Formats: sequence, structure tokens, C-alpha cells
Amino acid sequence: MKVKKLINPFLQSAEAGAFLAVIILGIVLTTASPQFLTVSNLTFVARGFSFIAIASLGVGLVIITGGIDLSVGSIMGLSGVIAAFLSSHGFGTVLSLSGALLVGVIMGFLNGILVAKAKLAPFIVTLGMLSIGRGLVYVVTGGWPMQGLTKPILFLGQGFFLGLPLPVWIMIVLLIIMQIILRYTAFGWYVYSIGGNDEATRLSGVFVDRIKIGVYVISGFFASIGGIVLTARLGVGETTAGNGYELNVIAALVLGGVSLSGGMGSAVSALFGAALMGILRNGLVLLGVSSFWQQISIGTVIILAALFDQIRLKYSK
Amino acid sequence: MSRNGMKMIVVLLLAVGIVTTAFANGQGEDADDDGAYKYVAIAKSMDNPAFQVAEQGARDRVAELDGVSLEWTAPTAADPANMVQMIESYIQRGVDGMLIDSLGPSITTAINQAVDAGIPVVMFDSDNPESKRTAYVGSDNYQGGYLCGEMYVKAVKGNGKQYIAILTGVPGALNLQERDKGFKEALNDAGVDYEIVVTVPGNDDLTQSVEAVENTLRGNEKINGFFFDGPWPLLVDSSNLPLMMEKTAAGELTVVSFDTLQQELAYVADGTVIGLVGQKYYGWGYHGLTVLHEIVANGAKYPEIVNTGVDIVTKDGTGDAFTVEEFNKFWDNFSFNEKPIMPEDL
Repeated sequence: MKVKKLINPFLQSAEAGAFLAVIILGIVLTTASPQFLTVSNLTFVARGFSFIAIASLGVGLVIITGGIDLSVGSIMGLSGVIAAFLSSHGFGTVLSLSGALLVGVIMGFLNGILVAKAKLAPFIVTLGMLSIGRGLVYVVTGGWPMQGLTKPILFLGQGFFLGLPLPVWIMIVLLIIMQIILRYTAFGWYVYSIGGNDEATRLSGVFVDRIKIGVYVISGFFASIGGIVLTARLGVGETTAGNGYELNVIAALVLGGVSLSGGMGSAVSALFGAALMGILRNGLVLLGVSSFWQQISIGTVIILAALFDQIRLKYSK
Repeated sequence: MSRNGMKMIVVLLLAVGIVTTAFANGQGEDADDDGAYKYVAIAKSMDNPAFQVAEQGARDRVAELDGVSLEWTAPTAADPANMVQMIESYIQRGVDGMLIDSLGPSITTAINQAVDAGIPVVMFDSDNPESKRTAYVGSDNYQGGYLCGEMYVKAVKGNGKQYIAILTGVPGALNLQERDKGFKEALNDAGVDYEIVVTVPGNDDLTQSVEAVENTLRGNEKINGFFFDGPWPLLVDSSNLPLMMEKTAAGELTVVSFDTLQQELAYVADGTVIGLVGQKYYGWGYHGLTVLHEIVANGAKYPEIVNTGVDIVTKDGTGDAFTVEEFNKFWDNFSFNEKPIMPEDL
């Protein structure tokens, strides 16, 4: 009876599936490959999925309101090359970072305005922004990788602090911030409320449009951070950086138990989902699985996660 | 614990277990026999026939050697971050050497990580000169472009002023710029009176490339020469290129192209294209693995850049060139008559 009391709330939480999968996968990989459970391997894996996790935190917010943000991959790429462009033109660390973040915020704001005020479908708006963002990347770079990031910016992606890579620290800090926003602020409550029932929330006197614009801005902002850290990790503003990442982000969120119909999910979902994908990728390489099969296995796991979620919902009612 | 909770956990356990084991086992064909030397090759992407030939070349060389095993892989998309993660994972796994096709300066630090961990890294196809990589094995793109130019010069001798258009891939790609530079230099050296009317990008996309060629010819009737610095328009059926076919058949247009993929050969056979110059895709794998293995196993010393040369295909196959029939046979057998490049050969 006591055990049930402990386990049921856990199973009812959205992250349960991803959490269990991470544990099980970890056990399987530890027994199958001696290299998996080593500090250096796990460090690299965590750094590898941190970029996706950071962007997922922002997109998670959008999806909880019942929207979608397909433009994050392009925003990541654009912010990265803007940071590289500004630093290579001598603007210094602070201005380069501010410029790159501003770009993400502006694109997120445009997404938000078009969705909330012009009442366009989020899928269409952010699909358009995906294309605009990637196009701007080419305009800025001319197709060339951009070098010349300042030392402090490079440190954001390549440095270590207390044995952990900086991108992992950034991910952890942002995770905590997002968790606080979602759980302990009125804004967070409204986000869930809009996802649950848009119209009812509006009728209860909440400025739904403002909240919606807010979540797209935050999504753009987080994508910017992810893009800057990714670019810093690579050391170069790459035109293809972040290309197609929107799908990885959405997959991570679904794996983490975020419902695409809105109203459900948490910041931890983003982390576990991204971690699951990162560990899976790493594990498949350690086990010597060809990259053809890697894609198939990741796809299978995404579908299984959704299936698990469905079963969970059915039984937890 | 509740029955339902148990059920769910069992389902999940089974699912994840099945997925990981199934995918781990279902791919025995990818790893050759376990040997004393384990190598991994990481190509740029999985969706290019050139890499399949390169893989074959590497596997053929593995078969000639004793105690060598090879894993051939690529990022699921041409994504530098993904390639970096793969390299890091292989460093963890501890391979004896890596063969890598560079996705650009983004992977420099990952290559350095591998070299610092004591794993020799040989680049193929695309070099990464800023890294600590052990060697580069590939074709000289400038030289390839120059040979295209020489063929062009021979074909248009005494035909008056040349108005030439260039079809390129993604604007800015270094290897393509080298080809263009070589092409122009050959024309300069021969003293041909010419003008590069336009350089159109096809963005490495077949449809866009076809449109670029046709629209360029339609838009400027003066153009009497076309240099493709990649194979794109020639990978599709000629019915997609009516204007180009019409002009070449009438002798109003001279076309020369880079790459020697099998689909392109038909255009040489029917005289549409005067000649092809191609990198040795098979050689990327075959020579790449040779160089890597000699360095790892025998401590061989190679120059930093190992030039594999190029293949030339023309209709009559004079000089160093192959005829279409000869080259078609190479493709049919997936074997390109290469001999290992040893340090003493260089």
C-alpha cells in the first residue's frame, strides 16, 4: 500500500516514461559496453545533448500552450552566425552576445505577434520563420563558415567548470529557471491554463495574447542561447548548424512526455527527452550500430514513448 | 505496487530492451571480422553514391590486409555537431585509427581530441588543414579543374570568343572554387579569348541545377560554353535538359563537367559532354585505409597531403583518359583498378 502511494504519483507524472527509459537504457548500455559508464563518456554525452535540451526548454513552453515552434533550428543557426559575425568584426564579447540574443528575441516576438494577434496557425508562422531564419544565415555568411569568435564566447562552449562542460552548466541553470517559472509564477500557471483551455482562460480575465507572445519570445531567447553555445562548442559559425534541430527538439519533448495537444509537460521533460536521445545516439555508436539503423532506432523509441504515454494516461485515470 | 503500474513498467522494459538489442545485433554485416586493428570511417552523409564506392574501396583494402576491421558510418544528416558527437563517441570506444571526411572547421577540435588521445586521423575527400590530422588523402581540385579547362581548350580551338557559364553547387564551397580557379587558369594559359558570363548556383540540388542550366541558356543566347563544377544536371535523364541537348547537338554549345559518376557517362557517350574529370571516390576509401593502416601498424611516414590523382573520361579515351565503356565496367564491378599507395611510391 505504501509502495503504491509512492509509485503512483510518479507514474502519473509526464516525465516517468523518459526517466525510466533513461535508467533502463543506462543499465543495458553499462552491461553491453564497458566504455559507457565512464566520467569522460557521460561528460561528452551531456555536452552533446545540452544544445537540444536548452532549445527544448523554450519550445516546451510553447507546446504547453498548445502551439508549436518550428523556427528554433533556424534561430539557433542565425544566433550562432550573428555572434560569430559580430565578434569577427571586433564588437567584443558583450555586444556580440547581446546582438545574437536580440535576434532570437525579435524572431520569437514576430512569431508571437503573428500567432496571437494575427491569429495565424503557429505551424505556418514558425514554418515561414524557419525558412526566413535559414535564409538570413546564408545572407550573413555567404555560405562560408565564420571564424573569429572571442575567447570568452568560445569558453561558453568549450570550457569546463568543476569538471563539467560549460554547456551542461548553462543547461542546468536554465532548467532550474524554467522549472521555477512553470511551477511558482502566475505566468507559469497561465501557460498551462491556456494549453488546457484557451477560451476559458481568456474569459477568466487573463491577457492570453500577451502570455502567448511571451512564450514565443522565451522560445526564441532559449533557442538563441542554445545556438550560441552550439556555435561556441564548434568554434565556428556554421551555415548548417541547427539545421533540422526543430525536429530533434520536438522529438525530445515528446519523449519527455510533453503532449502536443497542450496543457501538459514540464521543464524536466525537456531534459529527460534530450538526454534519452543523446544517450541512445552515443550507445548505438558504442555498440557499433550503423548510422542507418541509428535513425530507425531513434524513430522507434519516439513512437514507443508516445505509446507508453498513451498507456500511462489510460491507467492513471 | 499496482498491477497496472507493473504492467507499464514491464512493457517499457521490454520495449527498450528489444530496441537496443535488436539494433545492436541486427547489423553484424557492418563490422568485418574482429581484427587486431579496429578502424572507423566517418563520411559526410549517407545519401551520396560516391561514399558507397569509397566504402567499397575501403572494404576491398581491408580484405587484402590481415587482422583489420572497419566500421563505416556517417552522421544521419550532414550536420557538423552530429559528426563531432560521433567522433567523441569513437574516442571513448577506443578505435585504432579514424578516416574522416571533414564537414568543415567545426570539427577541428574534435579531430584534435582524437589525435591527443593517441588515435591517428586521416582525412579523405575534404581536408581539415587547421587540425592536427595525421594526413589527407584525396584529389587536387585545382588540378581537376585545370584538366577540365585543357579539355575545353582543345575542343574549341579556333572557334572564336567563348562566352562561358559556370554551374556551381552551394556558393562559397572551397573545393568548388578551386575547380573554377583551375578551369579559368587553363584557359588563361592557353590564351583563349573568353568571358565568364555568369556563375549560377544549383545548391547541390538536382532539380535546381537543371533549372539553373536551362534558364541560363534560355536567358542568354550568346553562351557557347558551360562548365559544371559538379555532376548535378548530368545525374538526371536528358529529357530534363531540352535546350542544352538541342544546342550541343547543333554544335553551338561545349559542355565539360566535373565528376565521373556512372549516370554522367551516357552524356559523354552521346557526345553531349566532351569529357569528365572525376575524383577517385573508390580511392578515398582504398588509399585512405592504406595510408591509415600503414601509419598505425608500421609507423609509415607519408607527406601531409597524399594526392590520389583524378580519373578522366572522354569518348575516344586517348592519352590518360578512359573510354566510356572502360569506365562503365569499373562502375559495374564497383572496382577501380587501384594499387595501394606506399610511402616509398611518393
